[in-house]
Amino acid sequence: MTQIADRTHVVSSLSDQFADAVERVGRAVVQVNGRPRRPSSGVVYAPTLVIAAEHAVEREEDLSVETASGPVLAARLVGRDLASDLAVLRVPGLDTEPAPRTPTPARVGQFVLAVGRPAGRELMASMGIVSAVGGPVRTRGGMLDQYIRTDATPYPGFSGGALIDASGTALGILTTGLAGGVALAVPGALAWRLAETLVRQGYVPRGWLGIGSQPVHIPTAQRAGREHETGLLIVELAPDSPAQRDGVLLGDILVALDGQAVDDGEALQALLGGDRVGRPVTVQVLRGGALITLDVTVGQRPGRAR
Amino acid sequence: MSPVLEVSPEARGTVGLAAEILERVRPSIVRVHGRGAAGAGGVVWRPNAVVTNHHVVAGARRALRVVSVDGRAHAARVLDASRRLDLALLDVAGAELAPAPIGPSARLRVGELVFAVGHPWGQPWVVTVGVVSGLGALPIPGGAGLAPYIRSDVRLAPGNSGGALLDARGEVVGLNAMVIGGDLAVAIPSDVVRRWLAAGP
Repeated sequence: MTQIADRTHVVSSLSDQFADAVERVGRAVVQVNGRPRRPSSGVVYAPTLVIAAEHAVEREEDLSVETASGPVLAARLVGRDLASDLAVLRVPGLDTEPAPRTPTPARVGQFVLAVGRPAGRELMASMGIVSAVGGPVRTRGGMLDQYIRTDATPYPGFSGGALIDASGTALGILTTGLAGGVALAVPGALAWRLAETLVRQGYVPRGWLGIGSQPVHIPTAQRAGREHETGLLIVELAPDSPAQRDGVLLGDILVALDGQAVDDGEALQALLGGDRVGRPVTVQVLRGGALITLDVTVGQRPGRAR
Repeated sequence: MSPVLEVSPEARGTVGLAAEILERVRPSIVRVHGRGAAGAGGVVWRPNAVVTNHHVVAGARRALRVVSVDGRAHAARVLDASRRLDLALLDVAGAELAPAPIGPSARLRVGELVFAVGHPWGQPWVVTVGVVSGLGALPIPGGAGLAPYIRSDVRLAPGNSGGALLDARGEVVGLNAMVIGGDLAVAIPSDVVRRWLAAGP
């Protein structure tokens, strides 16, 4: 009997480890009041700064944050990023230590816990594994470079909470707002970087050309010696947009940007990251069967009305 | 068939050990045939006495039967019941069933491992695993205040009612009672059952 007890101790150690992990990160998981009657969660990632789920911060004002105990703290919206469904709140007077973040990327199959503080200041958790790591993926606000998918149950109000590993360090920020209720997490390194960008500039730069396009098959005779079979036919040009200013015409077929082939809209979006904003890049188009190279200065995607 | 995921020898050992813990408790978890054909769960709480949910036995038209894991059926009768706490105590005199190890629910922590043993959709002695999702209080039907309860993410289905919620030491820490919103399992803490039994009929 003693022998069995010693051996089965392994299971209770694992159980203790899970509870310790929840407790460890739990101190940095807060309740976010940003919409009527349905609070959500947030993670303290730096002193007085909280990452929340963008879709759960419906208001611009009258925002507040609650920890396990203590007063309700007024919060100010620093910025939001629709592409990653992240928002950053500044909470003066919040003396919570930031959540520990793991430098190791998530691995498919590893044990994870979803941790949120959805209502009544109560900490909640669910268990699962990393089901997939993927990206880039097109979301409602642009492209998200990487995501983690988990089978841990996302309880109502878990968006903005932490996805943690068995040692209690954050692997990412949970949200069900990116893919129709499916529990995804924005990986920690990416989420923390986006949050810093929001603090610095109030928005996450995303490149913009100002074109509307559709993928088309290019007949062999019109490929101007290139091998790629598809390109993007320009069907719309926003007035005074970067593309229009720098010489792109309706009917052009966009085939490359900054030296990289563009076959479809996804490829173009992936090339229009924030690092290209304000920079002139070469844009290659097919016009009347000839390959033309233009220099286009990438603009900043205008903010979208909510 | 080769496994899709590599499981480390330590992890494989952990799964094996969990099975070992559960094997020891199985004889103390029974199937109660009362209301409904599928049968629900019950926990042998003390010699010759099984605790289950009140809603499992309420209005049972047929005679109550308790079936143990070895397949034996025993006649049972309700000794005491509380609709308010959704608890019932059954007498199974002469069944010689070993009581389950009961643990204090007060020591439960959010995130710790829990196992549910019951008979979901009539499948006997099925084990599901999860963690304690939250610890809170639910309004008692009829407006009689709040009762503490355990929330977990273990998968439950009809037939799990009255079955055991076990912690990682293999001790009964709760009685599974219902599912809220499709994915939140609610269990009555062992301390609530203990206090109710202590007050006694």
